[in-house]
Amino acid sequence: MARTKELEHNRGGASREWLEKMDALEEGCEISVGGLASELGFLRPPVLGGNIAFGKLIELVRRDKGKSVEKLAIEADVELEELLLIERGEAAPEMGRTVFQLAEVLKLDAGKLMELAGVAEPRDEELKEAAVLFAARSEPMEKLTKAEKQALEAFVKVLAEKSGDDDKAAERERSGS
Amino acid sequence: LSIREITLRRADGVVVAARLHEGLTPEELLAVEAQWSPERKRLRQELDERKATRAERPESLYWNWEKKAPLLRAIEAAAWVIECDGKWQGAMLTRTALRVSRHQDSTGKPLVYVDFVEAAPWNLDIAVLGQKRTFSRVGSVLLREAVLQSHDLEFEGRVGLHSLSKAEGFYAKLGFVQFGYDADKEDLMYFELTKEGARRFLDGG
Repeated sequence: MARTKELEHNRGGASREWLEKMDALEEGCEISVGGLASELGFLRPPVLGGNIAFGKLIELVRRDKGKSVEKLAIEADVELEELLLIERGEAAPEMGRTVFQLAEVLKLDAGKLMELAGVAEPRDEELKEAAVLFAARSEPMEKLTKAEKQALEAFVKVLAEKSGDDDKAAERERSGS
Repeated sequence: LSIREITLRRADGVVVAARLHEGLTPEELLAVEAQWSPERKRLRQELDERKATRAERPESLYWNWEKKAPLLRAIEAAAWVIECDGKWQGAMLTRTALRVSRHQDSTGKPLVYVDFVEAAPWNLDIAVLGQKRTFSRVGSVLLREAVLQSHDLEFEGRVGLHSLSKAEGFYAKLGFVQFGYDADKEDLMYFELTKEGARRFLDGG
């Protein structure tokens, strides 16, 4: 191997003089190199609609399989709070593991799911478009079920009470009723 | 995997013994990132509380390597990590296959491409939080390894990399030549160290 004598010397370890010169050069400088980060998509914004579509997909498949959020969280070994946020499209899954576990329990294609969730780089332009369309079309249009209507009415009633006559509320509080 | 004794400089100026681990796989870098992750989270929260601007936040605090584990597994690269005080202080990853020089004196000749260099979150200066790096010379020690790898492979010391915008000054000072912003790398600046530049770098400028 054609190495210079000087290089052999360098191979043995950096000299004190070299290190001191470099200390001065490096002082106050950032050193981050981003080629890989760019390749892995860290520098790009996430896929538009990806979170929403991913969350909707998880929610609808879960409901279709008759599972509650709690049941899915336990079966997939995912934090309940994370799953709730994912279903609402408010958070991307923190880790690839979450996506794998959900894919396994819900019998979905893990690879596509990773792309949709923004865990893997989306390769498929069609998937991106389909994700946005799916997110939009899966917004519910049908009338509420009886159970949903009862839950809504009960909650609206609570809201009405809360925002009602402040004096009455204060009075109720004072009287302890 | 090989481990060599090196030195780092602590914030108080004292030079301390450290170890350079060579020959890790990209996937093994996840263990390093896992050690850095809680500190990154803490810094992100502090930056949020201070309502720091985007410019005041180190970009790499927001990267989630764990999320990219399946992709890291597929990458063929060599990694170096510096360990000191029982913690990982900095890491570098290089690729050597199919990477060629863009410099007019060596166009098309092979080089070592540095994919990733990062200092531990406690080795970042974050002015808005009053944080000064715990250890310095992480960048110089790692880049020296890239140049030596290039010599070992008979690439004459040639090294290429894409720097984050805030690190451009460092690579310019090390003697890297700027080749402009690359559209296919999110407009990061491409830098190259030539054969002569590598010699000057190893000589200490």
